[in-house]
This record gives sequence, structure tokens and C-alpha cells, in this order.
Amino acid sequence: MKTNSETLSPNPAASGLDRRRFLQRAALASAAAVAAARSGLTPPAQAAEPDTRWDKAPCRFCGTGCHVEVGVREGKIVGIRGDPKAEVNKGLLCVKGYHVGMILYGKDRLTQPMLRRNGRMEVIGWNEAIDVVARRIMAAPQRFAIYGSGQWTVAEGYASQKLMKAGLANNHIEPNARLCMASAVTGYLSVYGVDEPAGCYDDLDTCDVLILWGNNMAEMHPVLFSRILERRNRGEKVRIIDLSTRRTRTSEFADDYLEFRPQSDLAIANGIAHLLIQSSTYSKAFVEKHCAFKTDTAEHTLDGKPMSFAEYCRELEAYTPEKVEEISGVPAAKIRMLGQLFGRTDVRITSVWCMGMNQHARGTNINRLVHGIHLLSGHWGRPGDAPTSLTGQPSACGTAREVGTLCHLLPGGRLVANPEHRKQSEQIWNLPEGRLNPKPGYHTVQLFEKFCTATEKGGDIQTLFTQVTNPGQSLPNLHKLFKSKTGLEDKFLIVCDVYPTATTELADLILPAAMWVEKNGIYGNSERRTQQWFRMVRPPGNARDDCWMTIAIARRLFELGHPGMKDKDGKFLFTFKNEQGEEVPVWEWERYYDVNVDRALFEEYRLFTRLKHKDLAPYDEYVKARGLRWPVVQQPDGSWRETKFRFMEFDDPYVKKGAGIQFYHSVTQDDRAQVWFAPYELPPEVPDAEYPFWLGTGRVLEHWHTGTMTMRVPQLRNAVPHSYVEMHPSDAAEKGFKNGDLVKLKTRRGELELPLWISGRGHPPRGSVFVPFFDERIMINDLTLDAVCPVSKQPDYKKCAVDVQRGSQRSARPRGPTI
Amino acid sequence: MNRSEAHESPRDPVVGGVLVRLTDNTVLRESALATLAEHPALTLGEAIGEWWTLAVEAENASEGRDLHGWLATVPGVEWVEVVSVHFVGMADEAASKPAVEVMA
Repeated sequence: MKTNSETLSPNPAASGLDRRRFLQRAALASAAAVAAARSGLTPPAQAAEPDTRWDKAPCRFCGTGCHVEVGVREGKIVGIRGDPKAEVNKGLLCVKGYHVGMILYGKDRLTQPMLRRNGRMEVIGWNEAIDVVARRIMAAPQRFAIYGSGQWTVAEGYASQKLMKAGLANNHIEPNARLCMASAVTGYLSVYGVDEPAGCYDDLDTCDVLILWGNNMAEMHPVLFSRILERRNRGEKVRIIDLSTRRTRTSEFADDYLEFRPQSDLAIANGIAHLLIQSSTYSKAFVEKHCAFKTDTAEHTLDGKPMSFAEYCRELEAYTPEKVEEISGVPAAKIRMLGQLFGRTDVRITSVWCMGMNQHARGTNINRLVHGIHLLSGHWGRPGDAPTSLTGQPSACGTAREVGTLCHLLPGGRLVANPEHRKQSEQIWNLPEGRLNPKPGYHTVQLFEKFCTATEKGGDIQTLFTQVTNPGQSLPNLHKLFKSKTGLEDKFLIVCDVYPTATTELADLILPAAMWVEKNGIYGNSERRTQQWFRMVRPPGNARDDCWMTIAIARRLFELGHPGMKDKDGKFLFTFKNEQGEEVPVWEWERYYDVNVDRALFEEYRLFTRLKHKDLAPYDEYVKARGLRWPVVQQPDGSWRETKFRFMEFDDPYVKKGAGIQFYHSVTQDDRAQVWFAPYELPPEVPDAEYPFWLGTGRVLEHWHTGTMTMRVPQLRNAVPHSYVEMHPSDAAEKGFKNGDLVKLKTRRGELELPLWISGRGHPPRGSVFVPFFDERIMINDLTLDAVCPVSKQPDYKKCAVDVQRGSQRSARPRGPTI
Repeated sequence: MNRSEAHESPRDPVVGGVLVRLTDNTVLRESALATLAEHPALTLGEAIGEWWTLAVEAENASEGRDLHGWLATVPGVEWVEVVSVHFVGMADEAASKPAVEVMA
């Protein structure tokens, strides 16, 4: 037996004690700090580790925004611990989080630029690599596109945005966030006139009822789910209602599990609104004071069409509980239960969603409807009464949405199509008037269609530069949207990444990138929290910062004479000065860290954030904090105050005194939010005789997105070593399948063989199967549908028709998740 | 070899900081504490609030996973959460293999 009573020297090397013993003590100290933070006690001092330096960073994975402390010794990460000072996670991490340090150390890190010559990748120098990119752009500036991600840091996304929109007057820039949260954006914009949640994670601490709309929170946002379970463990009553198309780990903790047919969440939301109207339990006071009504139209626009309250009520008449049961499969009694719940004023209800509502052929509409039932019922405007979207990437909000790296946006919620917004942006960027292009670029699916279509057939994107994302695995309908690039000789794919991926397979030029704490960074999480970190270790080999690459490309374009690389005074767009006021040539890698480029870009970007009440504090405030939620407004005493609850007078400084609640970005310009009606509509593809099953796709706890990082962490890889298909036991028995059999999935877009996992972690209902998308060897997106929400342009990965047959290969028993 | 198989499991020892919450049942609680204290791979720390702190030492990732799983099955243990991981020697194992070899 070991105890913790042995006295250890703070310097293990000096004392001769072995390092493991010392680390035991450090582990206990970390645990004690977290226990104290969670118990409301003062955390004890951490064990001194003189040879290990600890610093803060947000986790590299999902959009929750947990903070970790990273231990670095001799230039390497040697430890990860949850940060007890972080409000988001209070010291906790999920299984991915506490292995996050290991993602840097896969043995196949990309370390040298490589150019494809005669079909083979050859190592080249950085000067040549940057020159190749710049000359491709110079040859056809409007046929160049950038595809980044919600993993771009704020500075990286901002620099790419500036290069494209301010420099090249080219709006063909998109983040992969189009694939994961675009419908949430259009939902917020069409309801409130401004993007991102009004509430925050504090709602999880105060709600009485948590409704999960197609959100497997226990696996996808486990630390947030822990906050709820922790409340239950303390004896608080929190009712969890899991609305889902398949039983998951989340369902195990739910008080009510309501299984609905794909796409019928539209009917369920309308059914709730119907009951609120029929029983007169909607909040008349809230509606009269704060709401206006709109309906979707056949054209499916962001603006829709105004309607009266009476018209709204008439549209809902058809959505009786019995009708909703017929459409959704959810018993009418359960629909009534939901209606009654929203009709109560003595409970606080928080709705949460992520991909289930966003990756949806009517994603914008289901977002609108869920906001609508909260507004209609008055379950809005108090902590714990909130409709709140979650995100899947660490800076989907911070970089994709706030910096505005979507093809129709400018930073700070500005629109490229709005002349006034372009003028404001040109002033901040000091551009000649009229430089910015008013025409939105291609959205993600269009962009890849254009890149993968022969130029002579209208494929007018010739050079595509991807950073921090893996579209060769994550796009839907991969044969059409990615793999058909093969053989198109005039198309050129530049891939900047940290590991070889499905995307680098088709790359013509590979640029090796620094990752996470190998560079400075800023992320913005799901609850409007902006988080900063500093570089802690050096990248391997010749890997370099993504932001440096963008600036170096811009500089090469400047040298080649591209007029867009100058502002209206003739200065280079990316000019940085040191404290002495001297210009620093940061495009030379050796000089890149002579100034804090992140800081300089962030301070410039901040000017935009004030234009739509998304104010950010100075960079140095984020250095001190574990993130701050915008708007962050300076107080009379000079301090900076974050905002937890927007549009609510008690917390939001932009709400007029006495207003109580004020939707100050109202699209109707009367401080009202819009309650939408949108009908239930059939999905674009439904099972039939030829393809009789539903196919849904998603994630697992242990792997993050395409597995590029987590599959290189042995602990995570071994826990879930490969992909699989989940199927209902009765469906499997009917087909004569056993656990572990290889089965063939076939859709109208492709086919795939993979092992069957019956009664595993997830439990799809009869007539449907589920496949995670993390495994590059079993790419389920060869089969998925590229139909998009007509408003958000986000693809629907959650439902298409599939046939399931016995596989042609021999049986192999898969090993299921073990953690 | 597949790309993501390029980094196979190193045999790195792992030291983790863990929180466990025990039952209110006094008999089960004492039994659980005794079980935890006797385990050679565990170092039992102090009780803070409702939590007991533990250091878990494993010879490799697989053993660490098994220990984590085992902890949750100990009678009297109601909740287990990992809060930190030290990767002893892990970083030293990492080598930057020239990517061009992978790509060839």
C-alpha cells in the first residue's frame, strides 16, 4: 500500500527520487485542486515542479471551450490537467481532453513542404512553396479559394479573411463550419437579427428541465453534461428530456426518451406551439411586448414573410398531438407532456442542440421553431430559460461566425452585399473605396462542386487552399464533391495540415503546420467566450504557423505586384510594428515572433466587433482570464466586464434602462424577436424498396471529427479502433447478421463494407443504421447526401436512404469502445 | 500501413489524477476506501468536499484504461473522474518521421 504521507523534495532530480513518484504527488495535487474548486473551497497550492512549466490553453477539440493546463518540460508536453480556474470546466476534462497533449506527437507529423511532381510528392523549401501558391493566385486571382475551419484561430481566420476579401476582392472563402453550424447562424439571424446564443452555460446550472434536441451531450459535450449530472448528484432535481432518432449514452440519463422519425422534429416543435395556443398557456405578456411573427415561404429565404398572430395560430391548427404522433412516431401523450411543460411558469427550461438540428435539410427552420416555442411560452430571458446551440469546433463561433470567414460575411457581423457594411470595412482596413466585392462567394458545397468540375464545364475554382481541416473525409457525397478532382489537370489543391489525411492524398502542394500550443492562438467557444493562449513548444521540423503562411503568401503577392496587397496609402496590408515603431518583416519566418502578430491582428479585428455589439476587450485582458464572454464592455473604473445574458437588462449593458428585455438587433427594427412558422416537410431522400433503411452519421466520445488527431493517440485509438455500423438487433436477426459480421451499406452515391455492432453504445430503432465518421479507412461520407438546407446551405448528414446487405469479405469481430 | 496506424501504442507509463465520490453508506464507504488503499497502482490522497483524490499509475495505456474501468466497479464508488494525465516519457518517444516517406 502506498500513501501520500511521504515527504518529497520539490526537486526530484536533486533528491534522487524517481520521477514517477513525483508525478504521483503532482497528480494528487491536481485532483485536490479540482475537488476544491468544485466544492467551493480554496484550491491548495499545486505541487512545485521546478523543471515543468505549466500554462493555460483552451482544449484543442470541441466547442465547449474547456481550459487545460499544459505541462512542458524540456520543450515537450509532459502533462495535461483540467484547469480549476476555468468556469467552463472547473478542472474537469473528458477522455479526449486529458489526452490532448499527445496529439502533437504522432510519428507521421508533416514536417516539410512537399510539391507533387510527376505524380510523387517531393520535399521543397518554404520559399518555393510560398512562391508556388502566390503564382497560382496571380495567374487567376478570382479562381482561387480558401477553405478553412472552426479550428482556425481568430488571428488565422482574420488574416485569411483579409487576404481574400480586402486583398484579392475575392469572397470565395469558407470555413468547414458551414458543415456544422450554419443553420444555427441563420436561425439566430432570422429570429433575433444577430448571431449566437443569448444565454450561456450558466443556464445549465439553473434550469429545471433540459431538453436535448437531437444532441448526444453525454458523448459530444461530456463536460457540460457532467455539470447537469453533478447537480443531480448534489440532490437538485433536473429533468432531462432526450429527443432523438437513436438511443445514446445520453438517453441512459434521461427522464424521458422521445424517439422521433428523421426530420419530424419540425412537427414536434409545431405540436408544442399548437398546444400552447390551444390551451392558452403561451405567454401573452411576452408575446405582446417582445414578439412578431413570420413564416417561411416557398423560396426559403432568410427574411421569410411577416404574418399575423391569427395567421400563425391557423397554420398550427393541423399539428394536433395525434397528427404529430402520426408524423413523428412520438406518442401523443408525450407531445402533450411537452406542451404542458412549456405552458408552466414555475419551471425553467433550457433547450440545447448541436448537429442534430443543424445538419438538417430544414436546419434553419427547426432552429427557428425551437427559438419560437421558447419565445411563445415566455421561457426566455431568465437564467435557465433559454434556447442555446452548442458547437463542435473550438472556434466555430470565434473564427467562423464572429470573424466572419463565411463567403457572404465581413468581420463583426458585416455583410459583403451591404454597401454600408463594405464602406465601414474599407475604412477600418484603409482600402480604396469600392475595393470590396459585393457578391457573396461560393458556399462550401458549391465551392467544392466548382473545384471538382472541369474548367471547360464551368468549374471556375482552379486553385483551392485548405487550412486546418480535412474536407477529403468530412464533406458529404465525397465521390462527387472531392474525389472527382482526380484527373482534372488544371486544378491545384494546396493542403496545409499537421498529419497526412484523406485530403493530402489529392494534394498538389502540402504545407506542414504548427498546431495548438506550438503557436499563439485565440479561440471563441459556444457561449461567446473568447480564449487566448501562448505558444509553449516548437513545431517539429519545418512546420510553421498557418497565420504566417497567409502573411507570407500576401507578401509574395505584394512583391509580384498584386495591387490588392496595398492599402490606399500604398502600404502592405499586413504591416506590423514593434514597440519602437519599427516595421517588422514578419513574413520572414525567423522574424515572425519578433512581435506578437496575434495581438496586433486581434486589436485590428476588435474595431469590427463594436459594430454589432459583439465588443471584445483588449488582447491583454484575455491573457489574464480564462476567457471572457462578449460583449465585453469597459466599466467606469477601467475594468472590463463580460456579459452572460444578452438582451436582458439585468446583465446586458446595451439594453435600454427600463426595457427589461430588448432585442436590439430586431429585423423588424422594433426590438421584437420573430416567432416563425415553418411546416413539417419530407426529407429530400426517404427509404424505399431499393434503399429501405435510414442512415444517420455522427461522432463518438473518443474521437474528434475525422480522427486526424485522436486516431494518433494510442489510448483513444485503442478505445475505439475503427468505425462500425450500429443496427437494431431485430433488423440484424431478420437479415441473419451476427455481431461483428461485415455488412455492405449502399446508397445512391456509393457503397462501403464495415463491421456490424449490435447492442453497442448506440441503439438505433428498427429501420435505421448509424455510422460514425471518424475512420479514414471506412469513409461513410462516400455514401452521404449533399442536399443542403436552402437557407443555411448546410448539408444534412443525419438522414438518407441506404440498403444493408451481407458484406463480401470474411467476418471480423470488431472491438467496441471500452472506456 | 494506413496513415493513422503510423503511430502505434508506445509502452509509456501513465500517471493520472483521479477524483472518486463514495457512497454515504458507512460500511460500503469504509470497504471502498480499504480496497482503494490496498491497490498497488493507486495512491490515495485526501478527502475534499465530497471527493477523494487518487493518483493512478499504470504501466501503459491499456492498463490505465482497465484501472479506470475497475475503479467504477468497486462497491461503494459512485463516480470516477480523471482530471489530469502525466505522460511519462511519452514526448521522448515521439519522433518526427520524414513525412515524405509516409507519402511515397
